[in-house]
Amino acid sequence: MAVTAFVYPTGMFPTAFNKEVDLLTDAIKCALATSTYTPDQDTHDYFNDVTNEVVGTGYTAGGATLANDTLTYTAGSNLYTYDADDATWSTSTITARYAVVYDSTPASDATRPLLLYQNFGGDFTSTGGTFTVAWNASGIFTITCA
Amino acid sequence: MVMANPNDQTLTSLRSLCEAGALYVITPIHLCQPGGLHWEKMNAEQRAACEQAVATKQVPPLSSPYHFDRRAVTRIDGPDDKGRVRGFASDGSYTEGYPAGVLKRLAETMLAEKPKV
Repeated sequence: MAVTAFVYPTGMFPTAFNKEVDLLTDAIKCALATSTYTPDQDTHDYFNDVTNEVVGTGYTAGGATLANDTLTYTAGSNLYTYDADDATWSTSTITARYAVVYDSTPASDATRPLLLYQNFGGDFTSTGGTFTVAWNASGIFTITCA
Repeated sequence: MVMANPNDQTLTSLRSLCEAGALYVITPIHLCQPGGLHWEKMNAEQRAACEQAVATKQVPPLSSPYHFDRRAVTRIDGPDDKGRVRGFASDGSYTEGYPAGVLKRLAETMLAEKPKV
């Protein structure tokens, strides 16, 4: 199913311009949250705002680090795209509604900038199998420079 | 015994695959949307159908690099002082990151099966 990524504007942009985020050098993680988490794009800026993180076998609090991340610039269209390998949790037993992508390198949850979240549109479950968040083949998010 | 630096091996692979024309920058431009290659070949009716599909979120498949406008990589620059490299297409588009990530991303088209849709 196709889902839409939603940027946390107050998490991504001010922190990027303040040099709190280094997409390619920092450890960017994908965490999972249950349906009881309510994302707020106006007020959620750091990871301590994310509640109801998933708990279950095969899932470590804080989520999984996104491997092999890259930035792509598309000339002519002025597009910047961030991409990485799919996030996976093998032999896991978990149920999740949201994926939250954030910069985990700063010292505490209160200083770890939120970048974006995805609403799966319903609960998805793994039972002793692999839970995968498969990103769009063209990337995780794109910023258009107008 | 001197062990080869894995980054050096990755850079060698990047450069040789670049010379072979096997690497592509995958843009976020879907082939069937404005700016995409298929868009240019569509008539007004087909374009309207595409726009309708996007407007109603019945978006075309997004799961393969073949669904997106791709640009052949013509040179590899770097590494810079942080160890990052850039794979450039002739129009100036590029993918940047550490060598392993850049290799994986630019080689996705080569490794992906061509989809039926």
